[in-house]
Amino acid sequence: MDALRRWLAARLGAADVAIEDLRRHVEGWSWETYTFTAVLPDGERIGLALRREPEDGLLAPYDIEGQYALHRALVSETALPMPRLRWLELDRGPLGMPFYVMDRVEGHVPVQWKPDDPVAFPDDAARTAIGLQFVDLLAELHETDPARLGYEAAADPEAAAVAEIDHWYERYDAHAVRRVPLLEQAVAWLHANVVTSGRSVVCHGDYRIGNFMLDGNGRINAVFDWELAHVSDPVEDIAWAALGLFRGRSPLWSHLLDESAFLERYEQRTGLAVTPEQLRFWTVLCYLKASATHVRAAHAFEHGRPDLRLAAMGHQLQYVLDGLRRELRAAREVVR
Amino acid sequence: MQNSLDRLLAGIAATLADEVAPALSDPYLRAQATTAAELLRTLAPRITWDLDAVQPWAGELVSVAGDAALPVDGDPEASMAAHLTVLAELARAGDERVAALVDAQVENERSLLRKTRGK
Repeated sequence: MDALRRWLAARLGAADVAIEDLRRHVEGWSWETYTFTAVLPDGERIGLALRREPEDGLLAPYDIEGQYALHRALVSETALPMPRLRWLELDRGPLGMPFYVMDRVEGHVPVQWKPDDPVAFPDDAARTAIGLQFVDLLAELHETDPARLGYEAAADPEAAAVAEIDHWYERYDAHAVRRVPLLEQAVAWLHANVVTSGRSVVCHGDYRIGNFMLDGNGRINAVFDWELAHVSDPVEDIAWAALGLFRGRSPLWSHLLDESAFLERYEQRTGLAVTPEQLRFWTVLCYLKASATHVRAAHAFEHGRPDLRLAAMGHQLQYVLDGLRRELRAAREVVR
Repeated sequence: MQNSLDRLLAGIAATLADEVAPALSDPYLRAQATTAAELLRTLAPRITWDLDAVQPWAGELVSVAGDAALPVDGDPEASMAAHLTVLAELARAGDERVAALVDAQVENERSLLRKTRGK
């Protein structure tokens, strides 16, 4: 706390800074997020959010400079609601790991385990309106030239998809405490069934309920957790938002819109008509990606990390695999 | 289940004793957490996986894969790992029979979870 106070005082040009309302947000699995109010000697109060690189996060290695640059580009190049950036600190001295600070955004975050949250979704019309914004913002991201965000579009989207299969398989392979036969089967299926939209865009990588905030009027006022952002097929983000993990048995993707409403709106905004084959391929790949992260969590626990939530992810892997199994079964039915 | 039984029990005990208990100001609750940790540590050497429950598909695996899938004598932890490794290798180039076995493996884990949650 003292280290943060001293660091902030230097940044704000103040003799001293008090920190109030400090809160660590435990929802995330990777970056550590803190919100607090900095109080200056003259009484001015500044709401801030700080994201610190984890020492041994589930998605390592991290690229904090890349994260910061993407955030800055999203602010300047898109209409996506992003908090204003303040400072990037690469020196590990002040807080042990690199971090960056941005303005705190006030609002409410709907989450998948509260599908009937009355604050977020007072009625069906409000839910639909949020869903349409959710799609529009995704379309805004996907319609932005990757070069303007500091990325390079893939010259061969199909080869990029294959590289992504290999990437997530390697992550699973390197961290499996025990082998997961279904994932081996899924990888074989993926290699035999690569179907892409042919587009190459910047994907958020974790676009779903739980990763956006609402203001008091039902407007999305922040999209966060960009650490998995990368260049890929736009259908990857769509398939991720549609995963059963984020909607249980509800037909509403991310508890927001049903499939036809989601895809229709997306097509209106981007001109891309997503086919069932594309959606299935990316859904299976998204399950592989989710599984690899769960496997890594179990690996971290097995090798000494004390956080029991990691062990819980190890057995919650079964829910991910159950969804994957359904998808592969459905694919087999189509072939028959 | 990804984690080993030893690590799960030791990890839960350690978290209760080293992280939860010191953070509790109520002496009664602190004693509960400390005692729960001690009980888990006492139970740990007496508990093993019940292979019949966690791998009812293992017999079928042996009929598909032969001796390679035979259980490791007297060591359920090693047997589970060995079975999964054999099944995983088969799954990469799997036929219908292997696909059914993989399906059974996932379904069994899922049903065990469902039972513990009373669903």
